[in-house]
Amino acid sequence: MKMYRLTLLALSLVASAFSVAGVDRAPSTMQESIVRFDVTRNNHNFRVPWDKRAQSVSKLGAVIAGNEVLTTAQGLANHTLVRLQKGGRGRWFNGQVKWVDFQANLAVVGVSDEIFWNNLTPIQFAEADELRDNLQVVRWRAGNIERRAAEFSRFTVADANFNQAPRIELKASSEIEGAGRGELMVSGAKVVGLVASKSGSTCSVIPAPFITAALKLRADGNYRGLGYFDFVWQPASNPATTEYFELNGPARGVLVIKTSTRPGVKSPLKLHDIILEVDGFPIDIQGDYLDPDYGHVIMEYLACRNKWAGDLVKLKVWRDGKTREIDYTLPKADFTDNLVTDRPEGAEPTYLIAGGLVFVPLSAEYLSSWGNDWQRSAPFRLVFYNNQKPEKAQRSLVVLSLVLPDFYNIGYQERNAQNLVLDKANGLRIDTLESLANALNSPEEGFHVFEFKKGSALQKIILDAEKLDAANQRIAKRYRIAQFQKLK
Amino acid sequence: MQNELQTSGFHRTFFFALDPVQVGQQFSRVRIIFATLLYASLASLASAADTGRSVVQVLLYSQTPVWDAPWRNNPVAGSSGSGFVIDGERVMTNAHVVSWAKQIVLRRFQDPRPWQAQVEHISHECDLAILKVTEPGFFEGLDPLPIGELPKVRSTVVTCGYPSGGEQISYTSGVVSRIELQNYVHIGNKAFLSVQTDAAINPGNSGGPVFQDDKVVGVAFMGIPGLENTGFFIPPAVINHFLEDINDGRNDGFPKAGVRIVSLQNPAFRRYLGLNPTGDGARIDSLTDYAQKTGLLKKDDVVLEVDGSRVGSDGTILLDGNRVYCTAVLQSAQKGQKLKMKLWRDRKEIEVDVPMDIHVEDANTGNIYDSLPRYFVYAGLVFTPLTLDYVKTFGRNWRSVANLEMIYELYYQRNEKPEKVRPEPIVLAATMAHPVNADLRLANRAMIDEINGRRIESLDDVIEAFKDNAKDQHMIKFASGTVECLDKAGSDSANAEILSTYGIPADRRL
Repeated sequence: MKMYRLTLLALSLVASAFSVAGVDRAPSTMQESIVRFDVTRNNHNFRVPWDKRAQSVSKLGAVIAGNEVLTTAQGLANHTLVRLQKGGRGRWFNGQVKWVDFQANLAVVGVSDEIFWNNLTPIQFAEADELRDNLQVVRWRAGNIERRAAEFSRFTVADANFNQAPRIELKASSEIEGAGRGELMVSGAKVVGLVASKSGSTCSVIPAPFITAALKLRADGNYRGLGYFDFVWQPASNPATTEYFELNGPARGVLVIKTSTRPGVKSPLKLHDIILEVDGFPIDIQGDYLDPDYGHVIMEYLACRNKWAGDLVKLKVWRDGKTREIDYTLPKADFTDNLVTDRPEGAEPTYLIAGGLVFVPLSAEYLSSWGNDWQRSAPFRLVFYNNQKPEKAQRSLVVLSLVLPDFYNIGYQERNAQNLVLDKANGLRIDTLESLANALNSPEEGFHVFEFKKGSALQKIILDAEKLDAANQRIAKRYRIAQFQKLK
Repeated sequence: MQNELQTSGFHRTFFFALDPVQVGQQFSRVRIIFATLLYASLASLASAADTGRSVVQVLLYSQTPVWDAPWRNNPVAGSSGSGFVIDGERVMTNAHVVSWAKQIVLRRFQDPRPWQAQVEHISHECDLAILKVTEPGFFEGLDPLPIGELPKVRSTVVTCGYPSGGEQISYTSGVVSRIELQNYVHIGNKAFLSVQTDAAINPGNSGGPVFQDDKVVGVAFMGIPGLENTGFFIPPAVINHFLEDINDGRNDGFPKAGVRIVSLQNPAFRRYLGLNPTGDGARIDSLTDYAQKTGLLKKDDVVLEVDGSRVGSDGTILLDGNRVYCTAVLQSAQKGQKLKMKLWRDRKEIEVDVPMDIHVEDANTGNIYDSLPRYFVYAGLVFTPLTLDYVKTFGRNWRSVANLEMIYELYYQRNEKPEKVRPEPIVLAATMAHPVNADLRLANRAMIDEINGRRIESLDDVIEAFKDNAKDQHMIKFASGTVECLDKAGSDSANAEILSTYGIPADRRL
């Protein structure tokens, strides 16, 4: 989800450059179902974690049954004000986000003012077999409904960005400019899905069957969130490899090369199991299966094809020269336990400033602050922790991200004291900001001793414990930081 | 704060080594005008002009290997640089002027005859080389140039050589701008003492002398593209170290103490160690594996003096009026010497004699020259050691293209987990297509973890692992966890055919 934040900004800019050409002035039923959003949110900079920047996001949503509006989750993280407008013009109403799932990229918004709901009609969702023909993208544009033709291309499973659960996406091409902000993809009078993003001329659409399934579970109070496969596999397309693992019969299946990416988890899979079937669907040597609705798609989708976190998936695997049936429980797409922690979208940044040394958790948000290209532009050593699993003694990591210069910390202001990962403080192993705050309560003979990981460009920093409070006050004032720590 | 000798692979400044000039290459008008203006000051350089008689032009034909197809070579390239005569009928030049040489020809001052030369000694670390000319007569009338002292900052120096922009010998003059440790770009991962000057140093000047008072006070060797009037030359200390080193007929190189010395300026840190808050002394922040093993130096030792030079709290010493990083002293030692260090440890001053030895553990993070890449080809799979030269084949932004495991292995593993370091990490560089290997999905640019269950720590391990396999398939496990197998019987029988199809002269170079 993180990766969408930047996209969104770019799209907002495009939106301001809209021309009115191509507007369909004919009356349309959709105008009673499609509404505009104006969201104000706090955009956090995880590298300057006390800094909040207000950001305005404009997007679209669709009226659903029960006086609610459906939209994508994008742009709703850390929202401070959500306003809705119907009819493409006129009065704005305050809304409340009633439900949001950033992994599913869906949100439901309510409006308490009854007047808002006058003359609004809930949309009708398309079924799985109605997703391909006569597609159009619909949105409000300069006070009128705009409809642009779109052409179905294919179904794909979205690339897992940073810790993302797999999701099915409908790809359709359209000439519409600046889409990707929750526009409706329709076929006749039915809604095929919400446009989540657009790259080039290709719109990525969250398909209706996925939305209706999620909304139904939510209505039943039974929504558990997305699950995913936490194992890593490779295609078994090399016959010598399947022979090596003594797989009989025709070429099929994929080879497990990591049994679980989650820390401390005992997987029912074994290294080098060959997965032959998932929930009865045969897996081919590329890792695809034939989906009755969506054609050939990658097997990752079987983690969310009518399945949710906690559900059971049946795997048929080849192990030690025999097939076996394995029950695999889908873990929730929650990555807070990773070594590089990934908290739910919308969590505020945490930090601890000690004598100008700014400590932050090594998190997905922190790495993402280097932008879309974080894997290349963030410091290599920090990126590489994303490939490593937590250890028992240290389940997560704390980084010295920058130093706010003050004579108290002279000698530590050079570049080699940036982006160092803490190992110990005052002799105690540090894995969270809380453990660091705790360690700072017990200085060693009047000194705070910070030790960084072996191999760091600087491995030790010492601060005067007695003067720490005074330095904190002075630094907070000089750099206008209201709070010098925010641990949760 | 620098690692001794070594500069970090990731944050180093990029210099442009004076690429030797392509023979016959045309240069831009701007450069030509530039050179002409400098000629105007020639009158005042009369005495340097006499010594210029001992300055020679070095014409080189060289050929470099293709690091990801290690049996192949790049086209022969022509280039030129400068050199000068020193005692013992020797010619000194830069290592980068004569690297990968196929033919070296020298031209004397205003003498049209070509003279063939050979490399006698070369140090790619400090970018210096000694050439010999066997044909009699070459040194006739050429006086050996004496090596002088480190010039003072702001004093005038004159460069001399055969830079681009013309055919004749060229002189430029300028002042010494500053003196400090600089990354030597030829080797790429080491920093030595270096002198910056605003005297124009252009491609082709490389290897030429820099004069002061008729003595050689440096060897011109590099510049920084984009900066004006910044040329660099190698100072006498480094030149003399090289000359002394080769006295016994061998180039051993620069020994290391294996410590990272960082500044110690924070008053709290100084009090923590029991030192005066504003005094001298820099701190040992970390040690290499080998330095740790000797146990002579320890973490948090404060280095007060190195070989008699007082070390400041920023890690610098005073060298002839210049504050330079203290490793400049460590670098003055020859292999096997001991350096006296005065240390502050456990609130006491102590003295230790630190043995200075040659350690080449970081060779694969520096540029490699004059040594053809090792490789082994089996079933069309090309295995070669992971080196900087290899990853550079990925293109200029190899750092973003190379996979994470490779970069971690090259630059981090040794410092973080020395016990897990592979002496010679191996990559699958390429696969020469053949039905026997056509089903491999991961067929190039991947680091090897295991072959047939054997952990691969050298090229010899690869050879042994393929030899010792009892199964019907060979199993290659990559560092990423990916597995690929090969049919053993098919591989064995296809080997010779693949070598001949792709013109690979031998299946190995060890």
